[in-house]
Amino acid sequence: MIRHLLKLAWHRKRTNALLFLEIGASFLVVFAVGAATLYVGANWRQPLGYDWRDAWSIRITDERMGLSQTPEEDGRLMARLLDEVRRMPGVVAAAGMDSPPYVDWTNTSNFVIDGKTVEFNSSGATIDADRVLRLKVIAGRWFTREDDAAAWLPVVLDRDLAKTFFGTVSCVGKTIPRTGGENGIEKRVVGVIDEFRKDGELSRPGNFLFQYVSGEAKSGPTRTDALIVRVPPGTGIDVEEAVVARLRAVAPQWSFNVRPLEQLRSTRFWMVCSPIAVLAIIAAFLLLMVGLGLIGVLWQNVARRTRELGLRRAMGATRMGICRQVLAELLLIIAMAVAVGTLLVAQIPLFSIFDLLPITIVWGAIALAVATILGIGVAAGLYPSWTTTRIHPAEALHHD
Amino acid sequence: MLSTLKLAVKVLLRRKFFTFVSLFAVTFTLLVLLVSAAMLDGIFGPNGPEDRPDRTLVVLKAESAGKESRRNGWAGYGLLARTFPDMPGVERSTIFAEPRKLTTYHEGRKITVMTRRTDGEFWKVFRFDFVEGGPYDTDAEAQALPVVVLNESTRDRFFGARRAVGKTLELDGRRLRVVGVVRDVPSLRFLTTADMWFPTSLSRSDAYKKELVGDFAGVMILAPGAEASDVSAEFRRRVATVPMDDPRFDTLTASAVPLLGAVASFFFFEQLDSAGPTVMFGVLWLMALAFMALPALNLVNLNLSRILERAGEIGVRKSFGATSWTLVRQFLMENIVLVAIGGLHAALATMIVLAILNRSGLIPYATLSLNYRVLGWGMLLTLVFGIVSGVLPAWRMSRLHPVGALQGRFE
Repeated sequence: MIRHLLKLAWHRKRTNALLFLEIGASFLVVFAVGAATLYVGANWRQPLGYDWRDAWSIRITDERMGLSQTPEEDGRLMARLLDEVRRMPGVVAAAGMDSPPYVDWTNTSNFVIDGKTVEFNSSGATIDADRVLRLKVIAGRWFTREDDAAAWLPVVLDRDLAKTFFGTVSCVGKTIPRTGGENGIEKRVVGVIDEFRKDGELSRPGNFLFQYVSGEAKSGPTRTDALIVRVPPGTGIDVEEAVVARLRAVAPQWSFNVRPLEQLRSTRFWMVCSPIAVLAIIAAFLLLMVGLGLIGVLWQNVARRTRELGLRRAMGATRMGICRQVLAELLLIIAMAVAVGTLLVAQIPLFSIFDLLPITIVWGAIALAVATILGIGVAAGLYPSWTTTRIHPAEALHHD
Repeated sequence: MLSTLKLAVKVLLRRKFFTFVSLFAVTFTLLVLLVSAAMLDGIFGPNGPEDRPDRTLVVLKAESAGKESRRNGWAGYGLLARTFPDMPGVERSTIFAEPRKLTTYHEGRKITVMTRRTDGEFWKVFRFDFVEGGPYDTDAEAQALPVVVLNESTRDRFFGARRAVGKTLELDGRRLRVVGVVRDVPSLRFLTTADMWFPTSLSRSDAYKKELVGDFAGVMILAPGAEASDVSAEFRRRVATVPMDDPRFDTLTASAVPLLGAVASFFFFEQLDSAGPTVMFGVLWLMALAFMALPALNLVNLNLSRILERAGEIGVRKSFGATSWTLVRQFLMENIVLVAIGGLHAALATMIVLAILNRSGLIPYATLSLNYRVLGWGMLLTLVFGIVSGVLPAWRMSRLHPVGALQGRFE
């Protein structure tokens, strides 16, 4: 049966080649949209690692770009700011952090360890940042005042980075590879937290490192680029205004910008989801167009082959048999197009530049694309193939 | 010609389902392309405050590099202030900052605004429509007067739709007096857009004056007849003479590029400012053609499957001496008529989509419209799409053998 169909398809190869191309292109479109959606969806289900509700990020902008104030002065001012904010009514906890969750700036580092590149994001953080963001410490501890006396730079890793560096989360007290010695300050782990996905629920899990920031510390940076503050649920704009007024009074040379994490979070969502939504809408219209086009093409094909099909009827083929034949011919072309498309996109996991797209997502998107294209093909083929059942053998043989 | 048109319409009316499917495909394809074209026009078109694009040179990026570290970003005020004065061949120049988001608390509400620090010349280099009051001038900037120019939407947010000139507002711990209100500038005009503009000298310290890499941009308007390349060369020469005060760095680079290149490098790829708009338009055309591929294939398949319908007609025409070329022209014409009708629908749909986009606030202060430039691009795209999707079927049809066609054999 299949050999017979292949032969039929081959006889009309020029027409079928174009159909094949069209279906293959549609397959790629569905695959692209499916992969993007599945990627975001898979990330959504991963743990986040912090609590964004009722917390603010306050960005500090120093218009002097650090040109005229010493790090020591910066550190003292920062410490005073935090003291003042912590004492204000309506503030549960406050801390400093360079890159709070959801903000659009971050610091990325690359280490080459044993020939492999380890990429991680990092941020400075002060004591109490774990309380503000409700971080879950799974080994060791968060930064405390006793870290001020350390001769090395205390750091806290997230689970992913601890596993990357040491293969285990019980790495408290160990030194981060390639730090210390002649080429820099030694960084030593004081604790490990569960997970920290700075860019939010839709970003992929990744490595994160916090380094200790304090005006009193012997080494390392003395201030952070932003403050984070936790407030009780339902806190109004008046508390926000009061906090900013107090900050300005203490540090008139700095400028402060308060953004609730909830607001930054929805901005992030919007930025990730809206391009995908636009793509999906365009893809849906493209597929509708392809589906309608297929109906037209099949319809014409069937009309053109009335004589051939009538002959088969006259030779004893059943109505259903003919109907099945027409559908099967279409499905054969679709299957070939889908197979070639699958071969093409299956190359993606082989390229290391695309290692951000895990194999499971590639296969998931392929499955989705195959199902969609087959569905459209069958739906488009139903009516034209049904019209063949109305062919009367005697009339068909007279046709044209 | 007229008979071809008549014939085309007759053919379209013969099979309504096919006409509908084709029109749907064409309309949707051109709709997407037209909306994209309108967006690009919003970014590049000469309808913003930058009203002299061919005489405008922009300095956007600067980089200082040393053996071990490099710093790049927007240009610094220090770099621009040292290189811009008395530039030969330049009529006017301005130095202004990149926008910065500030929040303020006004009568118990929190208002977030994009602010931009500028000099007084800014208002002469760019054309803003003032609805009340006027700009601040160079003297006001020199004396650091606490003045501010708002856009209309921001005025409404602070003061309702009432007159605002003379009133004051608090911003980042300072009290500023409103001197003018301008019409909203779409956020796609990244060089000039903001909610508020105030003098650069109102900064909290004057350290910005020393920066070579920072958060400023400079724009020069060439004098009539001046060569952009001469001014660029002179600018580069002056940049090389700027003393470096940071021991970590020893080279400083910055270049003055034409407006279109600067905009292209901001929105697309940084490399585009030197390659120029030609490369960008090439890339955009490729993208448009890639997008057209699937709809065009769809239309080609549909048209090819309809050869049967026309076999008799083709046979007769050929027997009476019509050349293949005549037939190709006729079928191509039919397809172009179809695509043109789709284009009309697409234009109407585009207007609706753009109106929705403008009102949604997705792109702040967007004023996207189907103006004559976009329409021109749309007509060109329509023609290209009509030819791309029509050539193959037309050629195939014209090659039918007359005898076979008359007998109904067509493959």
